[in-house]
Amino acid sequence: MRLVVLAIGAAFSLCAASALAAPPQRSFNTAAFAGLASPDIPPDGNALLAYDLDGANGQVIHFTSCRQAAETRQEAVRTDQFPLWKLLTLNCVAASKYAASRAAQRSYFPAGLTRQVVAAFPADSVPDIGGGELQRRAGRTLERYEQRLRITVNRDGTAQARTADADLGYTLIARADFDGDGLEDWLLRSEWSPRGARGSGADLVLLSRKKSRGRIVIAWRP
Amino acid sequence: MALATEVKAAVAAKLEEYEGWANHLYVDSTGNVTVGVGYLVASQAVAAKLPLFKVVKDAPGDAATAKEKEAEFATVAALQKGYRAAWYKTHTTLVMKDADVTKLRDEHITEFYGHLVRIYTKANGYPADFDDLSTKVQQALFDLIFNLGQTGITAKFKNFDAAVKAGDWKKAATESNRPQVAAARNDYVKTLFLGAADEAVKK
Repeated sequence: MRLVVLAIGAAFSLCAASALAAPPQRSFNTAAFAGLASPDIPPDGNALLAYDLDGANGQVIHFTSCRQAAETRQEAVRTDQFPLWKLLTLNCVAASKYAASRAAQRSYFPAGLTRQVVAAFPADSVPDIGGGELQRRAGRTLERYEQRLRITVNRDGTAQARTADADLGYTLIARADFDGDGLEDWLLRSEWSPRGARGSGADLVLLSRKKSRGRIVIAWRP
Repeated sequence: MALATEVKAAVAAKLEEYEGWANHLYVDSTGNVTVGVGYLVASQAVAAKLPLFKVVKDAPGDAATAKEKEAEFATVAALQKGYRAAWYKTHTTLVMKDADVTKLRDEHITEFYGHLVRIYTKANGYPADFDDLSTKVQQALFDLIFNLGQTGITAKFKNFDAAVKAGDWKKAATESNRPQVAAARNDYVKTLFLGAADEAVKK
């Protein structure tokens, strides 16, 4: 994972995945943002882009900024590229959210995604696929909710959670203090794809942990 | 019974509209290597069995060897996800013939038809066997199962499933909403169910 660390007060290691992160820190995972043209996120959150999608009118839409992406209605994009349009808009929302954050003074999260921490994620930290599924998942951890769960952490720092019927993905998009309490929060992009079907989904979730080994809760979602 | 021709044609057209059409390997929005009309290429072994050809003057030339197909899969799988299919084309050297893309698409439809026929039966508590449901309902169920899978359409969308069992197509229209698909695709499915509700009233 290529991280842009903007404020580092103490030395820390991304390799020590199980150790707690060493704050204060504030970082954005630019490598997970397809089409990002700027080396980091500007203070106003309006990231520069070099990204193309096919328009519904047969023309290519060339995106140069997150502001342009926010002003582009989904109907302007070819229907088969809706998931990409959504991914782009989520990444831009993450950039905007990150721009309004500050460096955390303390963290109860590990230095990166681990199998243990993903298992402790709220079960509803998944994209809303509809059907009331998100409500049924509330109040439990991923480990408690899923009848079958196999979590793997990839080389690029992302995590996959294989359940009985779907593959869930987690990408740590940004880490910082997003709610002003001085503690580190994690802004994650969660993804869903059912096995044996062609659906897909993506969403953002902001996770907070207020004490060591404390419950991880969803502090915000779009 | 076989899938009605008019349903198959409508489903095929919508599948192309919602999944796209590409004669080369690309990475979809979730990071899976894909080809044709949303056909998942799960591994190098699957890629090796695809009818892929070397590109000669922008057209399919000699058939690619299994090793060449595996190498193409490895190249595409290593690329970053999140781009449109055309972006990946510049990294590929092999293509499928249009007829093979269509064949793969039709096999995909047949596979899902098999799932639908097994799920939607009178014996399972539905108002009719799949083939005896309104063609509008059949098309709507196809779109939902392509997107959600067998478990999703029944176990995750419980209220929707109950509405289908009750033959309440208006309620099915409401309960079919999927936040993860384009508004146009949700509207398409809702319109089909509402059309089926109108048909039921007229009978």
